[in-house]
Formats: sequence, C-alpha cells, structure tokens
Amino acid sequence: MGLGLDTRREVRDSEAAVLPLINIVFLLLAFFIIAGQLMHLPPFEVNPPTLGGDPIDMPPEVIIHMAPDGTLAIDSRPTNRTRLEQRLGEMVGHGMNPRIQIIADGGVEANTVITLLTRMRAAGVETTDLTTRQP
Amino acid sequence: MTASTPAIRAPASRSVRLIRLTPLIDVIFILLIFFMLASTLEDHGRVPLGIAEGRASSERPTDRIHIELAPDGVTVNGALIAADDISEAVLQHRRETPGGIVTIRAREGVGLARLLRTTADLRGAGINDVALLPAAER
Repeated sequence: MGLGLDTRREVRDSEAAVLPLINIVFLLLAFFIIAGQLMHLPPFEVNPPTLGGDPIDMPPEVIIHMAPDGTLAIDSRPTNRTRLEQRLGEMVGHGMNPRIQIIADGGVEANTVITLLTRMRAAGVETTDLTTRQP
Repeated sequence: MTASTPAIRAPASRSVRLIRLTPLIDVIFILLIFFMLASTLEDHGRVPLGIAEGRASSERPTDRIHIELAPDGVTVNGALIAADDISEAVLQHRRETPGGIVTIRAREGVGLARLLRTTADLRGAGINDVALLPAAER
C-alpha cells in the first residue's frame, strides 16, 4: 500500500517536472503556427528580388513560380506557358477570379515576365502583382 | 446530499489520472517539428505592375513619357540619363506635359529586379500610373 502510494506520487512528480517543458513547447508551437506560413516549395530555386512591397493580406489560391531561365511551375508542379494559360483560362471561364501570386526570380528577363503578364491579362486574369522579398 | 459530493469527485480525479502527459508531449513535439519544417518566416511583399493595353503603345505618343531600360543605361523620351535620376526626369517631363502616361519598355538583358526597382522608384516619387510595354516585335 505504502509502496503503491509512493510510485503514484513519483509519477505525478515526474509529470509535474515536465510541465514547464510543455509550456515552452506549446508557446513555440503557437509561435510557428501564427508567425509562419506554410511553404510552397517550387521544383527549382527561386530568389525573388529584395524590395519593399505592399503587404500580402490574403493567402493566394494559385502560386506561379518562375525560374531564372523562365521555366514555370504552378502550385509547385512544373508546367509550360501554354498549359498555364489553359489552366488560368479554364478558371476564369468557370467564373472564378483566383488570387494569383507570381514569385519570379530576380534574375529572370524582365520581358519574359511582361509577356507572361500580358498573356495572363489576355486570358482574363486581373492580378498582375509580383512577389518580392521584404528587406 | 452529503453522499453525492464524493460520488462526483471520484470520477473526476480518476479521469485526471487517465490523461498522461507523456503522449501529449509526444504529439505536441511532432506538431512543433512539422510546423518548424513546413513553414517559412520569410516576409513577402507584392509590387503591382501595370500592363499597357493594346492601344497604349500607339495612341497619342506625344503625350507619353517613355522610359527605355537597356542593359547599359536608361533613356527617358530618348535622352540618356543616370539610373538614379529616372523619377526626377519623369517628374520634369510631367511638368511640361501634364497627364502624360508613363510607359516602360525593357530591352533584352534587363533583369526583373532592375525593372521592379525602377517601378518602385517611380512609385516612391508619386508616379503610380506606369504601364509596361511588351518587348518590340522580333
């Protein structure tokens, strides 16, 4: 009886000892959930230009990545311009106006981006915002 | 009445003992690791870019203030200027021809970073209606 009580107290004591640990871990968890945003990793390396831009208020529905050589990816899957336009055209055709985030590498030819934006506009997409990395 | 009080207390204390903290910590640790690996703390911003409509490149070209970005320099309405003076030159042209729209064309070899820096400079100087022209037909 006395032994049983002792072990129970030991268990309770050891659990009480980890309570500060749980507190810290909970705080870290809350921090990462609130401060971080889930990454959308492109299939290639993309370094957007470092430049102060307007804050992004709403999470995007479609993410387009553009590599330095102009290679495209939509929602982290490689694509080409024709398929991209087709997909965006379908979305617009279905009455959607998706929030699109374009993350283009700073080293990509400016004209490649302008051509893409022009053709996206022709496909009916209104968003022409480019993503920057805040300094 | 007096007998009901211990009856309520007994299951409560037993249920407290049923929840062990160790599995809870395990799950929270796994969640923490997931969010640390899957999330990014990098801060992104957005820069709006105006695309010239089809007619803008040909309509009333005298009203326009045209910036041409080349790999080795910048011209504003044909006059070569220093890269830092673009917004000043555009404002100067604005005073001469009020209401003229500003167009930018990038030549081959000009990177996106440079184009965005130029538009950011113009926006910083209060010039917001900037239209980008697609590359000249090749």
